[in-house]
Amino acid sequence: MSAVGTHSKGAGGRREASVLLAAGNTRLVSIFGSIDDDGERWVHYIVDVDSHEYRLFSEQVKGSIASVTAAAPGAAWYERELHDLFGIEVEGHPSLQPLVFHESWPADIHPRRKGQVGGDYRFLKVQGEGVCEVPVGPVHAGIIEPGHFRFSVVGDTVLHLELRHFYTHKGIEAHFEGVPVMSGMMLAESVSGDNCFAHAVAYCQALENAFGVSVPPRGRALRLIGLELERMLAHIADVGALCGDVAFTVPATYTARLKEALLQASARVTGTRWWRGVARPGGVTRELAKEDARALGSAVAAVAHDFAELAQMILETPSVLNRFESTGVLSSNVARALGVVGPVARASGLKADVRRDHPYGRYRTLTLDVPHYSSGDVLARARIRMDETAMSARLIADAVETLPAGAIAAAGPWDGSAEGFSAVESPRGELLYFARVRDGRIRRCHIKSPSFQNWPALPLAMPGNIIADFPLINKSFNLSYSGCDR
Amino acid sequence: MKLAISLIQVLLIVGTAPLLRGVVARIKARIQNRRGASVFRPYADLWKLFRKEDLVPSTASLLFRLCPVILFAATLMAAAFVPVLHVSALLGDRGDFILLVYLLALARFFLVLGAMDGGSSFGGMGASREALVSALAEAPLLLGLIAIAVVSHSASIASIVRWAISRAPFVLSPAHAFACVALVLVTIAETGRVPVDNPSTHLELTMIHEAMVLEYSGPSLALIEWANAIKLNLMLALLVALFVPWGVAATISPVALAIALLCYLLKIALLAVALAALESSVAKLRMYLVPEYLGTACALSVLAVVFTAFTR
Repeated sequence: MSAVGTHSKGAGGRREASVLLAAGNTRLVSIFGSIDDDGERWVHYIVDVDSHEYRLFSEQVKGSIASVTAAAPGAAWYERELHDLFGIEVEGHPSLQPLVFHESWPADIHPRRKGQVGGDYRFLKVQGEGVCEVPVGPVHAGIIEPGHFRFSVVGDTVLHLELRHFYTHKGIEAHFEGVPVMSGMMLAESVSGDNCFAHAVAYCQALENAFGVSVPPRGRALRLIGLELERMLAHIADVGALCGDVAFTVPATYTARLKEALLQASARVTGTRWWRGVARPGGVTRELAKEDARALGSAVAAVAHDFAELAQMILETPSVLNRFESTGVLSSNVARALGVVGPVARASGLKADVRRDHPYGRYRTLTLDVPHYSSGDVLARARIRMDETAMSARLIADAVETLPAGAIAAAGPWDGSAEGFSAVESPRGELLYFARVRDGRIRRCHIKSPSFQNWPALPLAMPGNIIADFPLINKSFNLSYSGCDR
Repeated sequence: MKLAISLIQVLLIVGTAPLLRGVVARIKARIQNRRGASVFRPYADLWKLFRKEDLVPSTASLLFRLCPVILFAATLMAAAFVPVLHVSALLGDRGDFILLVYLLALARFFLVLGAMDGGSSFGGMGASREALVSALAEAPLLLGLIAIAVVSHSASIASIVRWAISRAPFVLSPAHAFACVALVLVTIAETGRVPVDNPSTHLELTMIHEAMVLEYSGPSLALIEWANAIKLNLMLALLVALFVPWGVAATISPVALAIALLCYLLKIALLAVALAALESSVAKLRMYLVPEYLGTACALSVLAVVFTAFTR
């Protein structure tokens, strides 16, 4: 378990966590609740120490808990979610308003436990001459996921933005309960469609850590290929969408072709475009024949080559740079305070990358040079994705060339009782699964999604920007509604 | 006979307006390496919309339904000022270019009014942006036209064209050059094309024209879309008439008219290609750079007026 982190249980878990979080070298990864075999509520804190060690602190809830938001602002949403779902009172929280639940939700129902919940939701009222509120969503003009954005603007300049999400809360963590260990991947794959393989792998790794099962080298290499392919797909699509948002249509459609080429290459060699059903606890389900590996490798290389040229062209177009530069700046201080992860963090000067900081699978044997930028604007977030696409292509080429022989999956004893957690670097950033198993069935599964972590940072990149630039800034974060709401 | 020709000219602008949109969209698709929709797709869209129910927001007044009609009527009337085949447009000699400009302003005024009457925040946002763009575009449009009117000693579009075709092809004044660039910039802004507005976006916060029509549906939307297409066609026809009118028929003879039709279609087709190429090669401007863009147009049109002093 040392590779994934330590776990301390006891009465002082919360205090230990908050003391750690107040120190400078730590980052909040996740907070979640669970109910043990005796029906008692527990609260769990996962803290990343020195960017190299995950520590899990657990404490039984007696009455209420004290908030850690003052020490780690990124805890605000997690504690509101705890309050909604488990009815745990959090003392000292700056604004313990409903997060998951909307106005129509009955006041005293907590899906995970009965308790008390506060009244109506109130948006922060910005007052002053010429300030007006612009409500946007949850129904949008295009076909996107539902989310509500409340802007307070003066003219076209945004003073304040407040998010109201969780229109797609599906209770997936609750759905996990009672699911046999070997069937949970399907649920994990449905959390966030475009990151389905990362979710499945994170789920499998949590179980492998829980049961102490080691994935054979060939299985690790195949997982790396899938994970990096997924990253390429996401990043290429994101760069295209950024161009589409500024009406630069040629690269927007060109990326659609590149993405399709990767999807078709995937379908040819694995039988699935998005690698669904490929990950399983212990390894993977599909063998990759030598000629298939070579075909996939050359398809990836061709796409990476075309994309590099396209990226160059985008970065050399003045009208695009004018839109991207200095738009939607997320300062590194804010990013650090909110524990922002993934490409968004790396564009704001944080070097966080799970593949390097908490290596897993084949990444343990690799030395990664993680790209990062410090300007924190839309351009930095676009460049991060361009650089990482090239890096992913190199990782895939390396894995395809040096594909180890042997089994693709390890058999494991999956029918006992255990608990564990593990993180992967999904295209959106750190994705962590915590799993508790009782007699071969999931008892509690917590999903720390990168979108849940990063959404609160988006409003802080908005003030001072014009409202017409919001879609572009939002696209440069490209967060998942479904993955956040779960 | 002359009246028939004049009517045909108006019908040509109004009738081929959706086709022009379809052609521009098709060329853009080809530039993007896509096959693209049929060039006749805008006609199908209009046909579909005309047969649909017209939904009116419960908060809207009578104005909401009235505005698209006034918009369409004013645009249609403006189209009657532009000579296409024959030098005499239907209303070419009955009103000057100032009337043309203000007919377009009238159309826009009612579009903005209707957008605000719809009651959605996006309608209001689009309306305020449209008001800003049009207020800034009006000065260069007028100044550019004034420059040409001064040079050709006439205020009516028809006699401007008559004056131009009496001269040797492509021998115009420096004032024309400045006015031409200014009016091209204005045309792009006025018709809501990239880089000022994006006609194909679905992002409501970035829209100008599309935000104004979000609440419209059915026949009302069809009228607005058609009027918008006519406006693009008429602005391009106006550019052709003012700056490259050669080929237009001075007499009513079948041969002259046939040549005029061919020349007109060729010129508009070239402009459509140029428009599609421009829209494909630049990103949309930041909203607060649009005033600078129109400021450039304004400066050019002022230069055009200044240069009329040196033109005899």
